[in-house]
Amino acid sequence: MLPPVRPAVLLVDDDRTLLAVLSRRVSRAGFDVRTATTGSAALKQLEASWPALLVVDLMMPGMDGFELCRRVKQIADLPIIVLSAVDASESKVSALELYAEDYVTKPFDPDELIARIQRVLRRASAGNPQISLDQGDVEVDLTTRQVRTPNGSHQLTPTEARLLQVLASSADRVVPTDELLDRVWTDSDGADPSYLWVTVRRLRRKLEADPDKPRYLLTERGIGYRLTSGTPTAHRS
Amino acid sequence: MPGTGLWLRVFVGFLLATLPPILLLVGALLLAESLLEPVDPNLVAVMVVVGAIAWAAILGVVYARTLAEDIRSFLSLAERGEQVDDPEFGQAYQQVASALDERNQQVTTLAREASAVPIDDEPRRVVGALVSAVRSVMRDPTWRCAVLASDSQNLLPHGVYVGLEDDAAPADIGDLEQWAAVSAGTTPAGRAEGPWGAFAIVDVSVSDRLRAILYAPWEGRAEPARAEIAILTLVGQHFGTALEHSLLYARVRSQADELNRLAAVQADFLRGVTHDLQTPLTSIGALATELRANRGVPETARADLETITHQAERLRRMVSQLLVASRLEAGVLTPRAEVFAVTPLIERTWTALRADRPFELTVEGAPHLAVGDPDRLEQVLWALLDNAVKYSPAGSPIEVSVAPDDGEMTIDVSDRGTGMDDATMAQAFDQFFRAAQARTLAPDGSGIGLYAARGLVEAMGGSVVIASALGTGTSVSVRLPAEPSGADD
Repeated sequence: MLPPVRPAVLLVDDDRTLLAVLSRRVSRAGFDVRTATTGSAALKQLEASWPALLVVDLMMPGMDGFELCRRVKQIADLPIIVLSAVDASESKVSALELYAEDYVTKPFDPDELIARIQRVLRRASAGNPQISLDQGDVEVDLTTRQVRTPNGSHQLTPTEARLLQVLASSADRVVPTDELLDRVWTDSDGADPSYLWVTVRRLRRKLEADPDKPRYLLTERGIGYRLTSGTPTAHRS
Repeated sequence: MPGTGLWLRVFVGFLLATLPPILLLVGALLLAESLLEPVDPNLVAVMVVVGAIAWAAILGVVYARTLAEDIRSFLSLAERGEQVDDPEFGQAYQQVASALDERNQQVTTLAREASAVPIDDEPRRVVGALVSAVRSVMRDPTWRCAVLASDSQNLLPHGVYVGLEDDAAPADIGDLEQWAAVSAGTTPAGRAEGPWGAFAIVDVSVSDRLRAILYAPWEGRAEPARAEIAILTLVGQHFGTALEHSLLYARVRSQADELNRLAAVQADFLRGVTHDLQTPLTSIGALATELRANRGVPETARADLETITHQAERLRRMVSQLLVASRLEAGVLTPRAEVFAVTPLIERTWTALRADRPFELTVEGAPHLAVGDPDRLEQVLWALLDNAVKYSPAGSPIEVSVAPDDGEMTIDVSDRGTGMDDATMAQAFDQFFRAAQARTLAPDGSGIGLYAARGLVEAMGGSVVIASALGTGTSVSVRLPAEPSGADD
C-alpha cells in the first residue's frame, strides 16, 4: 500500500533557527517541508516543483516577503501564509490581502501555524471565492470579504467570510454545528456553539433584507445551518 | 442760487418773529406808565409774553413748511451734484466724486488682490504675487520689491523681485535700492529724489528679521496726495503681513516635513527592531515547549524551561505593547470585530501572568459574547492585571467582574493597592507617564501599558475609565460592544 500523500509546504525565513524549529514541527504534523532562507532561493525551488502552500516571512534581507509574494502570484496562484512581526492592521500589510491567504503575527506557537496551514489548504480546495445569491442580488467576494446587497455594501470579518465559504462549499446542504465550529474556528479560539449563533446573527444583518426572516442563511434546528441561493417568500412570489 | 434765498428767508423770518413782540412790549410798557396806571404791570408782561409766543407759533408753522421744502430740495441737489446749475460747484463736485470713486476702486482691488495672494506658496513666489498685486492696485507696472533683510536666505533670498510672471531668481540689490532703503527713512510711504531721479518708496518692515521696500519711478509726477500715501501705507502693511505669514507657513511646513521624515525613520526602526526581537522569541518559545515535552528532561530543568517560556512571553508582550503604541501614533490600528467569550480569555491571561495572588472572577447577567479582537483584548487585560498586581501589596486579592449592559459589556479589574490621587489619575493614560510612587513600587514599568490599553479598547469601539482613591485601591472599567450569546431560533 502506498503511503498517504504529504502536502508540500515551502517555508521561507532568513532566521535559520526558526526555520529549523518550524520544519521539525510542521513536518511532524504530516507535511512535506522544504525550506529557503532568501526570496531568490525560494523562487529557484519553485522552478523545480510547486508546493501546496508557501509560508513567507515578511522581512528578509534582499528580496522581501512582499516582493516574493508578488512574484509567486505571477507564476501560480499558490496559497501563501505570511509571517510578520507587525500586525495585519498595518496599512502595508493590508495590501497583503492581494497576495496572502492568511497571516500569522510573530512570535507564534508553531501549533497555531500548523492549524492555519491546514485551514488555508482546506479552503483552497473549497474553490470559488465568489458567492452569488438570488441571481446576483447579493454578491459576496471572499477574497476582499465584501458583501454587496441591494441595501448597500458591508465588510465581513475573517470569521464571517470563513463561515460563508464553508457553507457555500456545501451548497444547499445542512452543515452540522460541530463541523462548522471545527472548520471555521481553530482550537485556540476555544469556540463553542454560542460563537456560531452570534456570528450567524451578525452575518444575517449584513446579508439579509430582514435578518429575522432569513432567506439565505437558514437554521436547521438542532442540526446546523444551510446556505441557499434565495428561498421564495410570499412577497416575492 | 437757492442757498442765498434760503438764508435771506431765514433772516426775514427771524425779523418777523422778533420785531412785533418787541414793539408790542415797548408800546405796552409806555401805555402802562402813562395811561393805564391802575393796570397791574405784571398782567401786562404776561399778556405780552403770551402774545409773543402765539406770534412765534404762527410764524413757526408757516416757515417750517417753506423751510422744509428748501432743505429737501437742497439735499436732493446735493445728491445730484451734476444737476446743479452752478458750473463751478458741479465741476468741484465731480472731481471729489471721481477721486472718491478711484480710491474706492483701489481699496476694492487691494482687498481682492490681498485675498488672492497664496501665502502657502514658496515665499519668493509670494513676493512675486505681491508685486503683481501692487502693480494692479496702483495701476502702474513699474513697481518692484527689494528684499533687504531676511533671516532665512533659503526661503526668501535678498534681491529685487519684479512680479509673478518672472520666475527667475531675484536680481542683486544695487545702489538704487540701497539709496531707496535709506530714503524710505521713517515714513511708511512717500516720495524721494536722488541721483536716479524721483521715486515713490513704501517701507515694508515687519521686524529686524524681515525688511523690504516697494518702489516705483515717480519722475515728472506730483507729490503723492494724502489719499495715495494712505493707500500706499496700507499696501506696505499688507505686503509685510502677507510676507511674514508666508515665511511662517514655509517654516512650519519644513518642520512638519522633517517631523514626518523622523516619524517614518522611527516607524521603520521600530518595525525592524520588533522583527528582530519577535523572530528569536518565536524560536525560544517553540524550543522551550519542545524540550518540556521531552520525557527525558529532568524535573528541575523542566521548571527552568517553564521560566524561560514565561520570560519569553513577558518579552513578547512588552514588544507588542511598544508596537501598539507606535501604531496608535501612526493611526493605523484597526482591530478585528469578531465575537468571543471574555471569561476564558481573562482566566488564560491571569494564568499567563503567574501572579501568586488570590484571584476572583465574577460574571453577572445573561451570557454575552464580546465583539472585538480577542488578541487585542488579551493585551489590554494583561496590562490591567499586570498593573493591578504591581501596584498592590503582596497577598492582596485581584478581582475581576464581567457584566453585560445594553449592547455592551463591562469588565472591571480591581485591586486593593496604593491607589492614585486625582492628579495621577488624570495622567494615568498618558504615554510614558509613570507616577513617582509607581517608579518605587515597580521600577521595570515602561509607562505605555495603560496608554496602549486605552488606544486598543477605543479602536474596538469601547471605552476605559479609571476610579481610584489613595490607600483604598484602583478599579479600571473596560466597556466593549457585546451581543447576547443565546440562540435566536
